[in-house]
Amino acid sequence: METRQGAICTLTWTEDITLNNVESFRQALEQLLAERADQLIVNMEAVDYINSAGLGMIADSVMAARAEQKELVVAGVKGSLAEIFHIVKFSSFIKLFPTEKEAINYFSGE
Amino acid sequence: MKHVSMIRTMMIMETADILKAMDMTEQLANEVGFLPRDCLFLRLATEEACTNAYEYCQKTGRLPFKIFWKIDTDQFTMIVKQRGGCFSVAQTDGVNTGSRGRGLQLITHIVDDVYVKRAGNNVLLCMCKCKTNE
Repeated sequence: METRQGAICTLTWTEDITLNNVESFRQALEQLLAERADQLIVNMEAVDYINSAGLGMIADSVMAARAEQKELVVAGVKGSLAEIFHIVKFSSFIKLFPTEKEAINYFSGE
Repeated sequence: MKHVSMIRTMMIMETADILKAMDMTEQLANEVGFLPRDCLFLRLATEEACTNAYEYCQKTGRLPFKIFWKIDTDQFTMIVKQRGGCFSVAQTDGVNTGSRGRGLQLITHIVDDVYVKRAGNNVLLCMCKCKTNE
């Protein structure tokens, strides 16, 4: 589930996030935060649906990463996922990218 | 001509029932002609409303609770009926960086009208989505 490219570590999540699997999502985010890399990407390209608990976990993880001088960004944000993120104003405190490549470019300074 | 509306109901006792309610919302919304995007968002409103009710009812020993779907010619309404006191659906529009407090924010954006009303010892969260907005 996690891939490394230099100092970047990516969690690719491929399921919609409901009360059925939100605990697994939390555990995956915790594992990502525990990685030694300080540039973290959550790739949600295959996700169409996320509940408020999952949104809270992303917000928590972004803030926890900052507290450890890391940066966590979210990639694959489009369609209904982008709409949900817009409703909860995620773009005001989280870096969001339509593709993982754009997130990698951001970390690479390109 | 007599106005006909269809009403469905489901009792929620455990989290597995919330998943069934989400499926039911998506199925009914699809049947009445909502776009797939709206079906998905109504499913989300169902999960948020039922999860809020479930957490409250579980904590206060008031399980089970009920959800109703009322389908009129021009409106799709979901009502979550639980025992207990009233609560507010008023939302601040500020940025929330915390882990909780986004459920009602989502619901108020998804549906066209959301309100709470008392009925005896019960409180009803009513969420209405107009079909004319399609």
